[in-house]
Amino acid sequence: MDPGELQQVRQVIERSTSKVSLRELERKGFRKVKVLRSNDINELIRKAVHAAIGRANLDAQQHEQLVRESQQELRRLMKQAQKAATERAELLETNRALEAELERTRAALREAEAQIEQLPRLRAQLDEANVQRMALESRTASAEAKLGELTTLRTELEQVRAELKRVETEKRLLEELEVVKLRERIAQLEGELREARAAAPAAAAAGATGIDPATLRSLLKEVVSEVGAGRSDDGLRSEFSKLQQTLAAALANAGGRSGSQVTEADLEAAKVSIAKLFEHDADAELESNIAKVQVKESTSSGVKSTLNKLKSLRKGGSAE
Amino acid sequence: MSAEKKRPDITVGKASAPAVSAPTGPALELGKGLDIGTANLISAVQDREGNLYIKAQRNAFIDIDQDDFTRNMLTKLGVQYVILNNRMVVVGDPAFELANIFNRETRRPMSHGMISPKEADALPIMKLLIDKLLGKPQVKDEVCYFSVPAEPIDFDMNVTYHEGLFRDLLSKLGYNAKPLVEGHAVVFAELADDDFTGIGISCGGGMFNVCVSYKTIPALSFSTSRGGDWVDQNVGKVLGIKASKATAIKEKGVDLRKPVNREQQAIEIYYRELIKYTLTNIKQRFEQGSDLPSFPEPVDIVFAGGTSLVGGFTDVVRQELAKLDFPIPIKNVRRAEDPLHSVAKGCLVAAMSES
Repeated sequence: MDPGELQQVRQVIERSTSKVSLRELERKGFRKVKVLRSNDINELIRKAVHAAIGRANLDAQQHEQLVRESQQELRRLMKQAQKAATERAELLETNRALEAELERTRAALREAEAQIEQLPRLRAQLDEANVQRMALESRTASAEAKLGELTTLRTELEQVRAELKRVETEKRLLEELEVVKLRERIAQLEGELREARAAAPAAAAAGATGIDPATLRSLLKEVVSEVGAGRSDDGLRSEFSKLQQTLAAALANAGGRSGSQVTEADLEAAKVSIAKLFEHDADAELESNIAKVQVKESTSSGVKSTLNKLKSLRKGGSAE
Repeated sequence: MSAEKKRPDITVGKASAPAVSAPTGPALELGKGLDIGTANLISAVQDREGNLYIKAQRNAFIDIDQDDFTRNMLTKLGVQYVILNNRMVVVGDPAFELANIFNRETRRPMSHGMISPKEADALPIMKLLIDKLLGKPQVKDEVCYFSVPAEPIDFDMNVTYHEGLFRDLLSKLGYNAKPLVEGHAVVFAELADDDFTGIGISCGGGMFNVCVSYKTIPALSFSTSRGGDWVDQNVGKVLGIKASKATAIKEKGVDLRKPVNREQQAIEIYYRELIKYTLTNIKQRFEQGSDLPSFPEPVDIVFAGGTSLVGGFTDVVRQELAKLDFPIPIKNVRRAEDPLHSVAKGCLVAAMSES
């Protein structure tokens, strides 16, 4: 066998075999292996061919032809083996690719199955989230309504605060005013007290008798009752005037002076007393400031035109 | 009337007979008009120059604790009060404001257009208020027309006592008191251009008063028992607030055509229901009676009264009217130029026509 053929045999062996690691073989249970070198195979083939030719008793020409045919056959077989080895290698490669694809598909399937197993839990979570969303929407609507009410209340509160502030300011001013007035009144009363104390010994010396205010009031009521019956308005006024003079004189006497010394102050005091007396009777149950407070009043165009139409219609014409 | 009221008044410079006012202010024409409404008391007079003077008091009060400071304070603030049975009674608009501040209800002297049997204290207070509004008569027995409700068709109540009570009260003030049904007063005030022919409706706090008039003659008068108070009470219930508060929201300004919040929506719903209820009752009353005049031409319906002041009132009336087969041909639905004072003006027209 020439070196070219030997090389071809090597190539065929190379292509027809696969390399397996010793660890892999061990995992498959092969603990011992027999090793056959490619040179030994070549030698075995060569010896087998020559032995076969020798047994055939061929002449030189036949021998030559047989060698030539054998070489051709060998080449053909080597080509077939080479093609088969190539196809096998391709098939193995395809198989590996398919197995890898299969493994990927299985992994994806496992993942999908795991996800399917999670579906009920996810659905429950989704339902829970929906419930929470609806509750939140409801609370939001309620909160918005309350916010509206709160805004209204806040506005009203501001108004009330403003009003309160105004009232407090007025109250403070009025209190200050009242304090000033009360101080003045106290000073005035202290002056009157001093004057009355100074005048008291003189009154006692003149022998004047003091008039009990309750008795005076009672007397006045009786007089009013008498003069009021059957009197005209003017007559009543006249009687009141006389009564006022009498009361003034009585007040002057009570102060230790004679009736002829009736002063304007005495008359004013008498007026106040009479007014208070009747005011008490007239408004026993209904004290009111209504008379003092101005009522809301507005003006607008009158009803003259309407009135004329009405009168015209009543006379038999048309209001137009 | 209470025992105190029967006692003769004793006042300095005043005889037992009612006084006649001294001529102060502008010279007035003879005759006065008085609208005695559930929500407001309103008087109208006219001077000789043709100017109309309107005075108004809210017909409500609230009682509070009394002390000297409060008394002085109220007078200085221009707030009217009456001391009644040792309680201080604040009257008029301030009562309404106080009720809202203290979250209380006002006390109302009248209910459903008539004197309220629940408020026995009310009459002396009303006497003071009316006296303040009208003043003294200019001449003895000056004519004063006062408004009264017509007989209700959906509520069992007789107006005779109410009418007699105020006739007596005004007579004691020195007036020749004459009643005029509210709807008729609206006709006098608002339908002059139509020969006083048409339908006048007074939309009050306590009730709606309807008058069908032909050339000043009231052919048909009646009332229905729901008014502005009904709206306030129901709005108060659904919103969980006092009726006085609901009134304040309503009077702050609401447009029934475009409510902007929950409160206004509630007001719109009850207003529409009130209008629908009233129009349906009016239609039924018209259809039942043989006393309905046959007008040769379509007539106007004119609405007056405080309850008609709300924005979009006549629009809602038109909408609800369109749903009904109304037995009288209607030319125009309109609101009075001065709805709140229309009844008082109508009473004044009636009074001046007899003076």
